Amino acid sequence: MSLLDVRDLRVSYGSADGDVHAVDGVSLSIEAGEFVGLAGESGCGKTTMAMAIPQLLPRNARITSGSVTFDGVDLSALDEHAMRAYRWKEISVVFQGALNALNPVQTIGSQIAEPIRVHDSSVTSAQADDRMRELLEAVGIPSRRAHDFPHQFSGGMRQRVMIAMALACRPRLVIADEPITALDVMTQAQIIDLLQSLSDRYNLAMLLISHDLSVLAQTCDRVAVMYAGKMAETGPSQDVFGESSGQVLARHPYTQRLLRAYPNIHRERVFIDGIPGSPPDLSKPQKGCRFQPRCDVALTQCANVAPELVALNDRHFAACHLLDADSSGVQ
Amino acid sequence: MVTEPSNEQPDVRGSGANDRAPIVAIEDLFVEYKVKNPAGRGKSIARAVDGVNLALYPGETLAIVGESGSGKTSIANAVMRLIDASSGRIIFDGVDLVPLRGKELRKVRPRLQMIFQDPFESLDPRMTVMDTVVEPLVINDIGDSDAHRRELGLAALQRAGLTPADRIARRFTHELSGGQRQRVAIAAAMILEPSVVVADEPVSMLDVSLRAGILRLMADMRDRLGVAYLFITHDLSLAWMFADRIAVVYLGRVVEEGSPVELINNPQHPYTKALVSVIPVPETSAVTNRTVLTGEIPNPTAIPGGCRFHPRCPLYRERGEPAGCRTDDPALVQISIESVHSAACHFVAKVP
Repeated sequence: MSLLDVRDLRVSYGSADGDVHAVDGVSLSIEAGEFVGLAGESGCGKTTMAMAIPQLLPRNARITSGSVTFDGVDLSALDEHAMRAYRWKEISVVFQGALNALNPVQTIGSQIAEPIRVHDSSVTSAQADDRMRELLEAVGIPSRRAHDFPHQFSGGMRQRVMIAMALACRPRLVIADEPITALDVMTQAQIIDLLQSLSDRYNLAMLLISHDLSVLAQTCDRVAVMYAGKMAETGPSQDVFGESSGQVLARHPYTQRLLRAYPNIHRERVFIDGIPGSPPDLSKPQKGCRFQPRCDVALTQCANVAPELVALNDRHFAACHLLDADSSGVQ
Repeated sequence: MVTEPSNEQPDVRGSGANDRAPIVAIEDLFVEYKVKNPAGRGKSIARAVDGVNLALYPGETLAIVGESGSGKTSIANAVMRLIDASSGRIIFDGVDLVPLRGKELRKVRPRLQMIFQDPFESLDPRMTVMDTVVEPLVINDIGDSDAHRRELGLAALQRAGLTPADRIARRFTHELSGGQRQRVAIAAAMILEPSVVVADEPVSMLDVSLRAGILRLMADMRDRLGVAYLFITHDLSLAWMFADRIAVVYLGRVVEEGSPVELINNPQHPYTKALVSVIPVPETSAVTNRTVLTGEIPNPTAIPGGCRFHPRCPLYRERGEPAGCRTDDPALVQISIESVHSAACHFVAKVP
């Protein structure tokens, strides 16, 4: 049994122009200790899908169908009170825009110690303090800085504080939403290394959300690529980012095009490719493959029939009609 | 994975440096800010740019690459005269911009334009696309009539890939997507046919699928109008792909300069080496020996003595912490005979 199993999840936002189906039938599982990347462009539903796991969606969003099973329990059936037993203790979140998410008038030490005491009333303040100092050191901040305020830290250090907070109650799954996006390349490398070492050390499962495929390629065990509310492709990193005898192993045209959108300094110096057009308006009913209008290898059925995920091997899946014919043997 | 470049694609390399005179020559530039001390008492001097020399040639793209706090944006803003240089010269087309004020500066401005990072902030949401694009013409009193300016505006929109131009011209900038807005910003920057455009992270706010389109547009403008770019970015791999020359800045100084291929394949300064080693690439097979530097760029109010990089330098530690790194500030020296390649490190072999 997987630690987390999201099945056929659908999430809609109510808006003046009608419901926006931000996540439309997405499944994703994560094993204990596994490092999974969730990629896609802005508006593809990756954050909505991730925030549905600990039920931290905005008020105008609702889960219309599907299940979120964590350690055998369907979280989507739990009420707010029961859900609190899971948030922070089992599943915690490193929020996007963490640089502004800290309380500016509270020391970082007390902000880290707070969830420890809130979630376990038997913890004494001395114990919470010890744990807070241990967490600071674990994320690479000298514990003597516990009494400093957020503004006394750089962006990278504040992100470390956010990570320490997420670890406060010893969760088994951490959801990190664009944790390195606003940071410099060297600081990004530091934070990625930190997340990996923490994942190894505490056997943490990690869902790392990023728009940047190239960051996920060298970080994650497995990666999922979303497009317009659907799962386009998912598989082990070596299948999605790897190649075999000069052919890329990624099979969805969207993934393939995204991979060509990044400069690759280990290859010939060529101009990056873009993907003309823009994602569909998800408040309108969708017909066929959502990537079809931007796809340069689309078939006739792509405009009418939505493709299902096809198994390319037991862990690598892609949703594209081009795979329908030649995958029959694999399935 | 890498496809052959198609025939239609514009030449991305530009014409590059040659023996022509530079269109912009930055000479011994210093930019200092007074900053309040965090303790609340007194002020210190932050030296954001600490003696920079750079040349930009006509039709060339020079990338200035650095982390936040490196001074790259201060260099750009000093060239644009958005901030004052503390000392030094910025020679633009033979004229030093640093002492210019008011009217004299306005005379130069049409030939020196800027593209900003955030097209959601750089455009006025209450203006139509047409008003935005022709604004530089109005300000500089160019064009015989409104009708003439409109015509020039439509042509500029068309060149920027915004079609049908007449329909897009009537829309408000807030109605456009991020990619379209950045195209409007480029159309407005290019309408006066400037000789230099300072582009400060022009694609870093855009989705990755849109970046190529904007950069191709910029390359196309470079080929068509001969514009030179001062391309400011934190993304070394993007600079490698787009620029003719790269200058890596650290704490207000150029620490290495060279051609993109030379700089990536054969970096000499330990800072550049580390930066190159952590560039993410979209493949798993590229196993690199990453050198992740510890700590962060120091505060520019307290620039370390000697080599400013020594407190974070892996080579300094490897070499047993030689005193010279703590006492002597290394100069940027030419290190290759065949190509433009220089570095500021005590351990690089300079060309005799």
